[in-house]
Amino acid sequence: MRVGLPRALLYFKYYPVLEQLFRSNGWEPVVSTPTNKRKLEQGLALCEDEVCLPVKVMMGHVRSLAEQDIDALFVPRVVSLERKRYFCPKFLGLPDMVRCSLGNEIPLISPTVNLSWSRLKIWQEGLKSCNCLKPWRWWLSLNSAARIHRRHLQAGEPVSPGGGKRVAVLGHCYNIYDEYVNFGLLNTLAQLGVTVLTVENFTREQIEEGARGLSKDLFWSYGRDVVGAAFYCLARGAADGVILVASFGCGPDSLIIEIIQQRFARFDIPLMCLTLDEHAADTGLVTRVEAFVDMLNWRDVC
Amino acid sequence: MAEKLYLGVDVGSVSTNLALIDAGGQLVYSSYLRTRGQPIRAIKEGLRELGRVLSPRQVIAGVGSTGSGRRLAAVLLGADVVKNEITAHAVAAGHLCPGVNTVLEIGGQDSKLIILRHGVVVDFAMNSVCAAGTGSFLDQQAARLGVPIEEFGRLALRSRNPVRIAGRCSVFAESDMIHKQQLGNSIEDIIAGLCDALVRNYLNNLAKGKDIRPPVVFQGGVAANAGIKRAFEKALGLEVTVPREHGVTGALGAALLARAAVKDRPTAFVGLAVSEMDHAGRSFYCTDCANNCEIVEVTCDNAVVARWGDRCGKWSAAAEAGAG
Repeated sequence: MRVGLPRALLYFKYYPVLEQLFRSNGWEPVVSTPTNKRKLEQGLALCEDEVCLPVKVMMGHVRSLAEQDIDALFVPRVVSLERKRYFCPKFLGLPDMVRCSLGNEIPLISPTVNLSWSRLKIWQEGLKSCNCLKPWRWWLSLNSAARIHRRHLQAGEPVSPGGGKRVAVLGHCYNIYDEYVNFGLLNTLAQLGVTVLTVENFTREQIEEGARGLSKDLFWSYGRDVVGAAFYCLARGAADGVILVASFGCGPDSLIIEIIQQRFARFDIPLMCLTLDEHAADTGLVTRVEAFVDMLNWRDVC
Repeated sequence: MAEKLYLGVDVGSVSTNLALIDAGGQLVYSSYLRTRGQPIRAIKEGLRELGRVLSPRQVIAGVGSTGSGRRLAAVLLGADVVKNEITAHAVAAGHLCPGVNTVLEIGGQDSKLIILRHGVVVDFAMNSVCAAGTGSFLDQQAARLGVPIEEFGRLALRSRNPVRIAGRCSVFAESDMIHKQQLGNSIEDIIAGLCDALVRNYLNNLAKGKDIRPPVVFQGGVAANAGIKRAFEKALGLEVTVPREHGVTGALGAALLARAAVKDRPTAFVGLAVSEMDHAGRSFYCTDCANNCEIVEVTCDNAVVARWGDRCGKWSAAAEAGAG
């Protein structure tokens, strides 16, 4: 069975687990090609105005997969991947939004994903939402996926030695790793000679240490990772500068940015916030990034 | 021996500015031209004017470009340094007013706040997508009120009782202004109110959490407006200095950077004759993939000298190979 897997949203962080789960259950993953203008435009046309940019991009991927030769489309309803922490309502309503715009063109596989459930309940949910899973095989693949996932969470990837200033580029994985949406931000920074750190370069312990600096725990998983990494950079001087990447129309981001900005205002590590939108020109973004790196390099002079 | 001069070109959304400095960093010539949507023409016009005032023993030993059209200018002129406008403005402010701690800059389409300590940029902010409260908005409102933009500041200073106008969004500001004008408020009070609103908007957007310390320098095209300067002084409770060169600070910064860049290498400057060459820009959509990138192509005497806008880089690489 060929199952469409949109290269958008959580794909950027969970693709190893997802692809492994697909294959071990006999599905062939059909991953959409990277975001391009056509996908963005289709996404804009399919979504209502109010949703955030990443969801619009997701819709574009869904549309492009629907035009391919696939038997089903994988759009999970992601509720929670950690205990007592959740994803924003747009993740919860994603399968409904997709169904609304695609109609019944292609069967959707949209299990509810809530990792605070017991393994048994997750297994049952899988069987319920997809009748083509073989119970025993599904149970085994779920167990090995859980192992991969745990290992994935623990390791912070080491930083490639690059010399230059260390700039932490923090934001949701789908903004950081989608080169079309962020105009090749990581590449631009690398060309300017800085060492880039992303949320994935911090270990779980480091993020937890940073997040302890919050006066009240955040219940959004992703936002909490970003705040944790940013606060860790402050506390330990782990970066020379921090760039926050947010997407236009993201509710949780608007709050998280404020929390981080207020904290950074009291310290000496420069912080810059970039908001990604549907702008077609990269000039504004490049100007800001260049100026930010100039600033970091000059600070040494005095 | 020929006198060495350094040229800075700032190609902005509204104006294209040239600044020429001598080896000591003194501004010897400057010009301020309206870009009018045609940067290539504006740059050439500026160079032609410059050519007229340059004496035969003066040579241009270095060129720097900045502003949103800096790439285009760099290709046209053969610039030695291409810098973003934030850095250029900071360099110029530090040069004009040593020891400056805060730079307020309002241009045609963007506004910036730069915080310096000991001559080094330590923090900055730039307005996001919205251009409310920048020069082009003032231009537009001046035209609507039938007041020449040069008169704007003088009128604002005459106001006794500035009206309160919502400055968050230029659409709201405009309807607010029309409302006040229909109520019978004087034009001076409305203009002064607009200045206050613009400054309030600037400070709310850019200065949040920033440590604004004196000396404060105000530059950019809008700094010519005495009404805005006074509104800043009122809001900050600090004295605000507007340098004489406020309109060309970006270009001045680029010139200073060019002077530094050519210290140990010869200039790449094409020469003033560039204004007589036949440059043209055109754009087309590449249809090789679903990105449909809009490629900009600059030609000089019918030969392609540069291309950009392609995400994959094949068009720009081909142009570079051809030029090299």
